[in-house]
Amino acid sequence: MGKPTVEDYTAIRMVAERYVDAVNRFDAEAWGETWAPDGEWNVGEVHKGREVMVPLWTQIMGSIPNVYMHVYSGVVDDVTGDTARGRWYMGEFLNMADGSRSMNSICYVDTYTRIDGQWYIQTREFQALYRGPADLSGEFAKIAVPV
Amino acid sequence: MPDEYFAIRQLCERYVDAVNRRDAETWVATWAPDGVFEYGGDDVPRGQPAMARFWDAAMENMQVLMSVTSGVVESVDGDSAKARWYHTEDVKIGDDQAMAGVTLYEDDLVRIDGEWRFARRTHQLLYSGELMGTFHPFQTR
Repeated sequence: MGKPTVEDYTAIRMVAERYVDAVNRFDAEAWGETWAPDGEWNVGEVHKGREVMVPLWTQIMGSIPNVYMHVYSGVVDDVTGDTARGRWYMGEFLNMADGSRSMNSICYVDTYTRIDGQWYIQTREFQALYRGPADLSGEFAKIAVPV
Repeated sequence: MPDEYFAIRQLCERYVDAVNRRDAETWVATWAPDGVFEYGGDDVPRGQPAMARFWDAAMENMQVLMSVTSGVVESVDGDSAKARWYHTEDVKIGDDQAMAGVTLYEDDLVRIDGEWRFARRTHQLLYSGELMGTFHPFQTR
């Protein structure tokens, strides 16, 4: 078990960012390619394998008019050979078919596998940390950093 | 300086992950032994033991979900650096006080035995507002 190098961290961060880009573009192929072929997607129940996950994801995305995700921050805990563990905090602006809208903060708790030099998501557990409206009705403060 | 940027970014991301997971040990270890946290109050903690006490008091009644949004490593001079990081902070205090914030950390960093640490963080609130949704517990393996 070792600390991630800057290269490992950056490569795994790029997987996290490709994932949200695939969601934002409704791109099933790009989404599938972030996963190891036998990856496991845990959204309460576990779905295993790209051939299962991609059709399911496509079906779910078909019922969502708009979603915009962004990567906030993440941690790669450790790298052991071609496996790693980490988690990523992400934000989500969601517009559902029934008209309900929410701003969510989520965390993906992940393991990764490196195959032919490329990192993939091996297991991903979805955790919703905040769900609800964000009406930005509060006070803004002016930035106080000398320019 | 991509290496320094990513090493310092990882430190910031460890910091917020430690807050989110309630991991006091990891949080304290992000600070230099004589680190200073200018969090906005008068009783500024100095040094890791004071940080640990600050953490216990601050976290007693608070749920907080922090994230790094973006940041800048302004300069690196040998084993010291200056940086700024923007965060979102969703905070729930007690049972009924909840707010969303955008905050700025202005940082002085020091590299000790090859590891970057916070020598001084100055916390500044840029936005605060109401947060009306539901918090969910965060479970880690």
